[in-house]
Amino acid sequence: MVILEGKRVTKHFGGLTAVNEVDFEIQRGEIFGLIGPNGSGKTTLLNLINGIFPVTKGEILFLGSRLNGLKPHRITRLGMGRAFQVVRAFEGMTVKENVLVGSLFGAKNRKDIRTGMKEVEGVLDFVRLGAKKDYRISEITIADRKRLELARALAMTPELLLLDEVMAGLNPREVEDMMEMVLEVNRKGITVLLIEHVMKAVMGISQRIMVLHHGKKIALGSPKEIAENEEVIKSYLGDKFVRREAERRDLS
Amino acid sequence: MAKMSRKGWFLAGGGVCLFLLLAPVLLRGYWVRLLTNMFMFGILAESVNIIAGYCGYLALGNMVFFGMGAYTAGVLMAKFAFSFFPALIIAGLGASLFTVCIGFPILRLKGQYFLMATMGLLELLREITTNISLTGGGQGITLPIFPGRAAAANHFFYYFMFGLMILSMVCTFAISKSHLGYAFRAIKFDEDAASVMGINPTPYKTIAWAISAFFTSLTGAGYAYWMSYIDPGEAYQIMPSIKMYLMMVLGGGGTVLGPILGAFFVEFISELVWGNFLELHFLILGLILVIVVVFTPKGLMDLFQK
Amino acid sequence: MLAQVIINGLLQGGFYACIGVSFSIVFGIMRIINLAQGTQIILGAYVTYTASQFLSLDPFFTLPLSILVLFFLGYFIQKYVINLVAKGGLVITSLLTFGLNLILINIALLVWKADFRGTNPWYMGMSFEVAGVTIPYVRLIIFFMAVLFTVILELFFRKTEIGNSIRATALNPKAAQLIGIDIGKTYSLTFAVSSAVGGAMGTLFILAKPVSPFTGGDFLVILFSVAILGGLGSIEGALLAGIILGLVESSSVMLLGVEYQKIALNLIYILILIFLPKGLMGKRFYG
Repeated sequence: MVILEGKRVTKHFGGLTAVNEVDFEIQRGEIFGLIGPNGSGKTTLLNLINGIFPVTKGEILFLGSRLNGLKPHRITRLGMGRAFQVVRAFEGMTVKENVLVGSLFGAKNRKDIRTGMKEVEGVLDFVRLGAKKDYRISEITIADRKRLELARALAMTPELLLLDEVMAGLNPREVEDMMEMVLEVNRKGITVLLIEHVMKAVMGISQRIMVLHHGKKIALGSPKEIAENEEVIKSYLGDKFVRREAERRDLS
Repeated sequence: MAKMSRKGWFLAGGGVCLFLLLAPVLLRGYWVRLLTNMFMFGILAESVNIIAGYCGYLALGNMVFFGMGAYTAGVLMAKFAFSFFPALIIAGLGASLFTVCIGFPILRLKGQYFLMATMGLLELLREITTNISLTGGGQGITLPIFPGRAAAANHFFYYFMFGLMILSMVCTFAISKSHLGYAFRAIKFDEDAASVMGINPTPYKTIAWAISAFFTSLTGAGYAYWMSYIDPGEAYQIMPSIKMYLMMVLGGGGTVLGPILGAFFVEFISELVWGNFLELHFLILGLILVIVVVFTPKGLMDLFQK
Repeated sequence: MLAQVIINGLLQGGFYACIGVSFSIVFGIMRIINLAQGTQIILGAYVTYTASQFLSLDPFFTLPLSILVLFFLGYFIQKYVINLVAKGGLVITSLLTFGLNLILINIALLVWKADFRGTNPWYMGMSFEVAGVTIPYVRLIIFFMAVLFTVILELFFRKTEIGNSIRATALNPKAAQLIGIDIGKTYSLTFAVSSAVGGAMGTLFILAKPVSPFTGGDFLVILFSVAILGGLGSIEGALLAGIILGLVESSSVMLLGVEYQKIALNLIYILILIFLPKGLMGKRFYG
């Protein structure tokens, strides 16, 4: 069943076309990767899905209903949760309170603070931040902050989780931990849209991957298909690399 | 610093409250009036705390609601023979309504622009008031005098400001423990992130400003009745606006008690200076502002909590 | 009649443009709302008042003095006070500049007392006529000097090395630091320039009107308006904005009467904020 669908999604910023006629379909329950070189439009696309910017052309459908023009808070309540790339935690609040905001306002149902707090503790335990729940944001590490972002998004009990470069800045051990957590989240039935630069992670856990380049979709397929796709390699490493590789293969 | 247990603090607070309740009987008129002023600024500082300390919107021109409240009471009581409490309610609700109307275009503005907009509002209202005959123009309005002897009047306004101050504190406390409190603070720390987390900023900001306006307006109405007179220069001053912020910053924005403590402290000093160093009044206030801002930007409450 | 209104507006507008620019510089480059700017302008006027009396000079010729005094005052204030909290955020910097404002007002009160002080240059009240329009000499002088200073500022920021390094700092403080620009000094210089220009405008102001320590407050709405309407970082915008405001003022006097002049200006100000927060030019920054 399709949970998120994009039809000819396009975004212009003045003269710049950040996202260009992108079509996509995300199935419920899958982990869908979104990759592309810097500036390819990944984060813009995420912002469009999230409602931070309106689309210039095309439409985005979530659980069958059109999202066009809806404000972010509305879209979140429909069942989407988002973790930001640059961690935008609420600096003046504790870890616990940060997640509480997500729980109180981002979930489908209203709840009182006490119930919210209980849920929050559960979520924090899941991302293994339980011990630091009363810490201030300034007192936790980068890896912790990433997990906090994840926790905040999870507290919104989303059906679709948008993860924007959650692995960035983590060491290999931390990346493995995070990958495991995302898989766990997915096992609970939550669909995941994963933007990543850390190839090991996105190749390792995604079922399908879409590649953007200069705002256009250039490939969509399984990790294996993507890794061998010439267009994709070209976009990341450039024309010359692909030609040299081709020459080398011809010579051998 | 918090060596005293919670019980200890409660007892101390209770003791202070008891003293304050009995003060009009125990102290001379001068001190009663001073305390009334301190309570008044306490309300103003706490009101500003709600929109600025909690929600992060620096309405530097918040005195505009004081003026609106004062003039609503003035016009209703002097020209339409309303009695005090109905006029009071209308003043409060009127100011809140005003924020709901004007909130949409103004609360959209970012930080500096919002600040400058509220200052502009203050100026605008003052100019309008100076030029309309309904409000008595530059001459101001004389309100009906409080019935009863001077001492009774002093007591009435003492308890009025005290009661309003307690009310504002209770309100702020309730906010801080509720959904509103979390929403306000999320908006303050990162409005865009807050909206992605499900908070629609516009209604929340408006509520914050409306509550702030409500209390500020009631204070203005009370003040006008107390003085039996109000004119545009007094109603729409920028100085008390800045003082409110100083009090909030000094005491600690985003806390319930901070602005009150800040208000007591600054007003007390202000009174001392006014009494003894009138010529240097601005200088000293200015110096306090500069020193506070440079050395204790997070306020006293922060020092307490460490 | 209409021509007179237009000319009046134009002449006043030049003055408004220049004081607006002096405020806008600090706002645009350091993101600080300098609530003391009005009083700094008035201090320039006071320097002129005292100097012209002491030195028996025509007040106009005290310009270099007021510029110098206000330059150093501004540099001092920024370096030793404002720089301590320049990055502290809106509340902090606004309260600080207001505190400075109070201090400066009080100093003026102590030295010059609360009464209005004016200069009476020999050309005051004299005017000439062109095509039925009366142009007071003083107003013309003020207009030319204001425009001159505005142009000088524009050249300073665009053509000189210092000016360019200031703009670079405004655009990207971190990058500027990396290439060796001393942010503290840059800010001090910027504030000093703003102060100096303000002082010059104060000198011009007192040629036409008397001042009191509290006159600075009257400028605030104009300063804000020109800064916002002109758009941050656009000096051409500020000129245009100043002239528009001057015209609004003079036409409101004609259409509505003097009493409503201030209301009109305030209302326009609010409307600007609501509808044109990016200003006429829409530029984001000095660059």
